[in-house]
Amino acid sequence: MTMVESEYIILTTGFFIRLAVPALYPQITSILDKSVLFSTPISSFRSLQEGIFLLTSDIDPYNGEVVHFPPLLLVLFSQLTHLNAVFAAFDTLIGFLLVQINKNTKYSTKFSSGVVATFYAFNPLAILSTLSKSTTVINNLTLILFFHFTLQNKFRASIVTLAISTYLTYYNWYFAVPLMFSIYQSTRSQQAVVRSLILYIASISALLYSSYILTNNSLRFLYLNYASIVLFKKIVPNIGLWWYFFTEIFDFFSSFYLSVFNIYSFIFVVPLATRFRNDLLFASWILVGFVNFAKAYPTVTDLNLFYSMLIIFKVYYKKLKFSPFLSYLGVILILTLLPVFYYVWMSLNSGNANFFYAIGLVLSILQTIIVSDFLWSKIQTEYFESKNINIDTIVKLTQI
Amino acid sequence: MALLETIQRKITKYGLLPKLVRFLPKVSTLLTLLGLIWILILPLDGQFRTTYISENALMPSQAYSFFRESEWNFVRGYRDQIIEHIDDPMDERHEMLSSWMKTIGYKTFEYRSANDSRTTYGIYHVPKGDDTEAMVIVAPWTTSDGEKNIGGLALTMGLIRYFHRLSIWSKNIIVVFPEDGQDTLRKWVDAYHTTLDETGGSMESAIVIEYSSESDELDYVEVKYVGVNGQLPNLDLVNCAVMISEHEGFKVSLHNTPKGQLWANDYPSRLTTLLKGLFSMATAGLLPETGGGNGCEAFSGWNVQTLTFKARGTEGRDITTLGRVIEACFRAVNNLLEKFHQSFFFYLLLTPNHFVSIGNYLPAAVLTASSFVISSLSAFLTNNNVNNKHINFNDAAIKVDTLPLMNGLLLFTTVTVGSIIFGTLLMWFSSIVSFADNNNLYTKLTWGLILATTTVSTLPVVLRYKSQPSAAISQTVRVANGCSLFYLAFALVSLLVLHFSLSLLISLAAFPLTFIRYGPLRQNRKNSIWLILSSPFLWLAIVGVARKMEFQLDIVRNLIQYFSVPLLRHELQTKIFDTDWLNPAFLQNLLQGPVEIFYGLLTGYRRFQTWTWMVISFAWLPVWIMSLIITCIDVQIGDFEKRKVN
Repeated sequence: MTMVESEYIILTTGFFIRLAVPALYPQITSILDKSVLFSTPISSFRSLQEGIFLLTSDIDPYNGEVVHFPPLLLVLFSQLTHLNAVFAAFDTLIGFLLVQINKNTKYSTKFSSGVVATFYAFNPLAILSTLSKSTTVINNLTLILFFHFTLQNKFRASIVTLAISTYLTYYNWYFAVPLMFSIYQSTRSQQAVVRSLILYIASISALLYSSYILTNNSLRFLYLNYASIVLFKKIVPNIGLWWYFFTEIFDFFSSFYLSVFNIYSFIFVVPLATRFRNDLLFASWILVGFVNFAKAYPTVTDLNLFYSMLIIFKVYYKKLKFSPFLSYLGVILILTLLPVFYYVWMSLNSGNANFFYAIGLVLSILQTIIVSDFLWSKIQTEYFESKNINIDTIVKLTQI
Repeated sequence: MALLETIQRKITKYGLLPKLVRFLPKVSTLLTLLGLIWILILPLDGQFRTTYISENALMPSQAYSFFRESEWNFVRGYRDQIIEHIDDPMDERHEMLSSWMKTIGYKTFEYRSANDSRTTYGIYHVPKGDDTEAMVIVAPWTTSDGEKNIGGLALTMGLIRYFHRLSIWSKNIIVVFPEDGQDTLRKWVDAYHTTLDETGGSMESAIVIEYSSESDELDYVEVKYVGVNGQLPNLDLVNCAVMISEHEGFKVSLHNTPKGQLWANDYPSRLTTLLKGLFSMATAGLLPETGGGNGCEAFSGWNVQTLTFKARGTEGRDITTLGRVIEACFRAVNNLLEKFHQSFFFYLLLTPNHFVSIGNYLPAAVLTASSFVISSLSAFLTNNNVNNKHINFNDAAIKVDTLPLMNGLLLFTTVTVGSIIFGTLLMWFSSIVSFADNNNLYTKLTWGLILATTTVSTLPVVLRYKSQPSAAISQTVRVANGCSLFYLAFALVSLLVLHFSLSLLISLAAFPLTFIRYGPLRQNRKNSIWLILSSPFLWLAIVGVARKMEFQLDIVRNLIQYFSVPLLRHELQTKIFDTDWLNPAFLQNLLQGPVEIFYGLLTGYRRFQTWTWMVISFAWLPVWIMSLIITCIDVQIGDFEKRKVN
């Protein structure tokens, strides 16, 4: 059995695991969907079902405050059956694209396709994300597809994918910045960048216009899909950093903090793309990690994309302070503690919000550590390469 | 940072790192010791606090109570009737109470659980209230000791008659008469929150009354408060109960403290109460089929603050005094404007008036759990392979090849999943095989498991075979060992906040697992001792037998604190020499102890949502089995020799 075959076998096994578990144990989706780790009002399967129900019973889903999905997605899901298979297929496709990206990178050291496939197919985070059936899985799929196309310099495809991705999730327009940089890197023409930008905006406009027509000439979906994320309309506990602030502060501060938080989530996009313009895949990946803790409604499904892509960057493992094994262990530990603290707060009433938020903070700190560790490792590796020094040479570089 | 950098440079310069790595097992032991010492420090002066009422609205004992002589006549009247009808069939007894409640003006209903055990309950929809909240008073027909709750029932009837005349209530009053204070009551509480049509709003508090004597008087009260899964009622309610009781002149006993020790407030007495509290929290909800449940377990998990008042002694203060205590508790809860939230939900009581809050005691379990983290790290860093003993550590050896890594993980996963399936199967078994009809089967099962685990623990002594020296084997064993220890640490840490006492006791009981070393079989002999000591089933046997022996920590404490030869002789005489050890009935009873607890463990989740068995069979047992397997493997070479062999 050659290596090429084995990765497909592994991914297929992963697909069947993702198919078999909900078939044997159908309650798993509702259990995960009710847990704070996998569900937010923006992305949960529950509200998706509600939206589909409203749509099929001829009630305008965008009339209330329940549905936060773009109209096209809702229409798509109202036509789909066998959702178990659909989500399993989506997630397996993510695994497949991960393998492809890993193959196509120009890094000197990388894992074999079989290892990457195994890592994704049996990754508990990925499996649980699929089972939770949150729409974030689709967001992850579009993002990784976008990375895949960009890496292969298929820019038109990647622009359209990113437009779809942006249409699905507000934050994804951030990735337009590294995309434009990589278009400029490969074509060296400013015209191409402008043309790409126009294509990007045109695709988004087309999507938005068709949604506008679809929702009976109403713009309310814009408010529900995007404004409610930017303005953080639903203050519900999640694993992120926002909710606690907005429950604690006085109302007259909230517009100030809203702008600060939104600016903060964007603030590193341009610097990252500029600094790492020769490795924009890495910059985008770091951006995924950064947006994960700076965004308003993060879930474990969001984290999954970041931690799955970690395997692509084996070349930077050498200079890490904490090995990926350790950080993965830490993340899983914290992710187990989060529901415990949520339970202590919500069900036992013997803890309070501070318990849960504190663990959420630890998760965010862990994530910042991992992100900055990789950044520093990348910079060191670049330095060694630029000076033609063997990477194993013991040279102590100091951060300034 | 400069200091840290200097230290780091020195460490590298003098090559301290390998030495530090070799020191890790000692660090692990030290952490557990520190955890123990931490517990021992808590009862020292200055480490604990005096209790106080932190919710201002409660205002306990601020009103003059009229539950006195005139009401006493009613209590006596009810009691005479109850004594007369105590042996009637279940339905007639309940009908009698039901008709009494109706006469007073309570809406009464009956609830039958699946096993046909009956609960009669009445609701007083108070005129002033908004019908959304309720206070519950419970008098089971049988007390936790298995006696008839004659005084408790009579007092409850008298009280609810009196309550109905007062116009102060703003929360509904629910009175519950279950057949017993465990399964029947639990089923009623579950039904109340799920299926019952006739309800009186969310329960703010529940007070259970146990008074089995026919006497008119009692000596002191025992307050029970421990719920399952480490849940406790809000400290404010306990404080109220203690404060009111002392205000009325009762001494309060916690965790079965005998009368002679109620006045003691010194280090040994505080430590005794603390340890008894820890133990009763860890073993809460492991009830035999009948007897033992005091009502707190039944309300656990539904956010009802529950206390049990158990009357002790038959002379002293009259029964209406206890009535006044309960009335004042009800008035205090009635005063509440919000849910109980001010005071602590996690605490350890040292005396009725002194407590340690979670911030002060939690580090003990953190230390003991982190001892497992350190020992798992130590296992990964090759300390547990005895072949490495005299070789200096160097980080080249940390690397594990892919195949041994996979094999080790697979081995560990198989054992864990197997143990989880085993635990779940036993739980399922207990749900289909009734205890009463198959006592013999359960006895065989329990003692079979206890003997089997003890026997297989001696395998490292008995086994004699020799394997080929192979780096793959030593790496596989290392991965399995490290992973299993980390898994236990992980489980204990997650359990910390939810159930401190269980986490602490399991980490102490499983601590010998960190001493497990592997290597050539003839060097593995000592592991048998550690395996036996850390076996969950051995502890099951010890706890079960101790419960049947009616072991009291207070006696040990007395012996140590006031040591004198006559005292020791007396205790030995009564406990050991006077006992007819060879009496078959006595032995039979003694052997039943572990069986009852095992049954309680297996059925705990089904009956009371107690997780104890899940924690044991999902976390402790797999790690124990893993350690057993490791010690049975003949590991011929160390982690630094593989280059030579391959």
